[in-house]
Amino acid sequence: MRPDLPRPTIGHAAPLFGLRSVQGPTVELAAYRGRLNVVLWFSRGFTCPFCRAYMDGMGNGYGELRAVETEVIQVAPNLLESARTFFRDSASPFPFVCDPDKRLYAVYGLGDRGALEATRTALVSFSHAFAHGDAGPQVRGAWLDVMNRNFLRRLHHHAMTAVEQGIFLVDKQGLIRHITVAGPIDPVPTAPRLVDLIQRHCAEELQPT
Amino acid sequence: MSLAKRLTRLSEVLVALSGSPIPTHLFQTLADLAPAAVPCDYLAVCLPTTEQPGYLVHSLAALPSDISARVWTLDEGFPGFAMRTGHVSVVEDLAGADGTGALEGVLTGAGLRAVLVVPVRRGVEVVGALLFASQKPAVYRQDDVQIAALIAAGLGSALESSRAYQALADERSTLAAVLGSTSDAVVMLNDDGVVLLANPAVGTMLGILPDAMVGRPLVEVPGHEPLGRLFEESRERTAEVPLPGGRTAQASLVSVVTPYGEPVGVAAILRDISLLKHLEQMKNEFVNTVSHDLKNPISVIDGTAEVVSWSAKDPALQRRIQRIRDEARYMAELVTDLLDLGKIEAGLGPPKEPIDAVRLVADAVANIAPTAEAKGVAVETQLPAEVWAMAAAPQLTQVLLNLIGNGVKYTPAGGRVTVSLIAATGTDAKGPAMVSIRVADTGIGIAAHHLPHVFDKFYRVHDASTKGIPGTGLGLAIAKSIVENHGGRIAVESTEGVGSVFVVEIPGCPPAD
Repeated sequence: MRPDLPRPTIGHAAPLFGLRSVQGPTVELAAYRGRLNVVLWFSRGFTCPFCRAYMDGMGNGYGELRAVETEVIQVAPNLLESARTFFRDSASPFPFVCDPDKRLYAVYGLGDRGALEATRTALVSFSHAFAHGDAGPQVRGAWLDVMNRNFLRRLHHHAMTAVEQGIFLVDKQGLIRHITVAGPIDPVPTAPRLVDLIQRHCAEELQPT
Repeated sequence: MSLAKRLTRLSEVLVALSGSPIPTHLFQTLADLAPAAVPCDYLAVCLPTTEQPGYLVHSLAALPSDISARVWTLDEGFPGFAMRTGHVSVVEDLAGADGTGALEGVLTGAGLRAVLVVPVRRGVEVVGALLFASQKPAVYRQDDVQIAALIAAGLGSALESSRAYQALADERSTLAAVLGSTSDAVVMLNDDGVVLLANPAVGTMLGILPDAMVGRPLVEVPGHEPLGRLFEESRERTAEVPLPGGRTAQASLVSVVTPYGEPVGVAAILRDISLLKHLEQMKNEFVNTVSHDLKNPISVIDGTAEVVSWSAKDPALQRRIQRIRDEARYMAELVTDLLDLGKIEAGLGPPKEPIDAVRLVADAVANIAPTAEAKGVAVETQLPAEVWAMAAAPQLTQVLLNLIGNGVKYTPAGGRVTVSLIAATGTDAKGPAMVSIRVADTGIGIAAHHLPHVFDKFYRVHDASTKGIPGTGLGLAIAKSIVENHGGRIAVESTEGVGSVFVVEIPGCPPAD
């Protein structure tokens, strides 16, 4: 965590990164400049039943997002190999990149909401999963993500902590045009809402500041 | 031994395992310390082989018959079972046990009776097994299994670190080899100006030993001045840096960012371009020489033709002599244009400096005014009080003379040429971002299908409307090269029979005092 980093803000250039995706290739944010808008979605990843549901929603609305020249990049604090195992035949149509130590989260100013929130989040996530017939993926996800980590790193780095979610809308100039920060298991904007935000914020060019 | 003592021994093993990333050190640590935590007469680490499916038994205490010599398949022995299933095996006495094979035979042959095998894991994956054996039967209880499992967990962690360390060490040595063998100097500073990295080429290029730089603030390094000036404006750009001994380097400054977007510092890459500079100078000299050699004979032809014309009485002869003189002048113009274009494209030319664009435009208009007046074309200007641009004055004047001259040339008598100067948006203390100069005429215009080509070399519109208007077809190509050389743009809009508008945009700058 680098507390001295400036927090990204609307109208400023989105910090660049290059991370490997579950689908295979390394995803470079810079490569979308001049081509596509980008919805950068910082999620809790596959260990979270709510995120899995949002992922399905995002996948269903992906066609409409592509129609407004937009790519979705989902960032998750999961281990890459675990994520590849988890999504073996069911990877989403948009890139899913892994940041197990939450370093990109810190660069984008997303923090951890602490142990109490983590406990609440874990309880709610597991009970939601068990109550909605989603227990299998939940246990499998938690097992893959936690058990594959080095013993000491399991304690504080895994995805089952209370990391904030964030939606950053990055336009074709590479500038941030919209930010939503949400709690670990709070809802994030749906695909139709994102299409609306893109049409509202990414239509005309902005003078870089 | 009391459980407390054994747990102390266990913690010693775990601490020692995390002390070194070298696999042989890990094995030595186990051989030295593990028997104190889990009593044994024989201890082995079993690790899978990479070439063929199976595993090798690395004995940490010698056995009479060499158990380490062969590759065991995963179907063989208790270690194979542990690696296949991830389960622990405890055998009270090999002598009476079921399912024993060749491996157990070797152990029995060495007088070993009780066996304890625990899997070694990395994450959920089993990456090996630890084998403890004792000459006394039935010595391994639940405590031993748990302590052995913890040693195995420690070993798993240490092996993972070891692998990561090896990968990093390999990567680091590859990187060091690449940086060490390149002739480009690479220097990297962190945000506080401390040198993080300097490759050997820094020594040869700047005369500073890399070891004398790394870890120190750059400003404290003797002889850092050329680099210091480069890093002062710490943002991405390129610049020329003078080197000791009259040499020159081209430097590119790049900000270094991790794949996760965290800024690390700024790196400079310097390439010695002394040779290129020398070649550029040679080319310059060549251009000047050729210019002289080509232009001289043309002047002689023109001059001689003039002298002959004085004494020529025959009108037909006069016409022919005039033809010679016209062609000679045209050729002189062509040579000048070609040489100009060559120079501009080679990046040679006067240096760019802050210039008063208003005055420059006014001077250019004044220069054309007599020609325009003679032809009956009005030239108007729309100029603000003060606008400064970053440009080479002679070159920009050449562009303006060409554009305004064209306007006059292609506008019939009674028409009008308007020259306006606009400081584009984004004006602040640093001056306007861009300055645009607009030359609009009410002339014959350019047909749409000619528009994409007007900036091409030697492209001229040949039709009834341009008949009799002289030109080399290089003027606009030169204008375009000059404007682009200034980091600007040139564009044209035109309607046939209505007129043309040429717009030149060049970078602005704050006023010079």
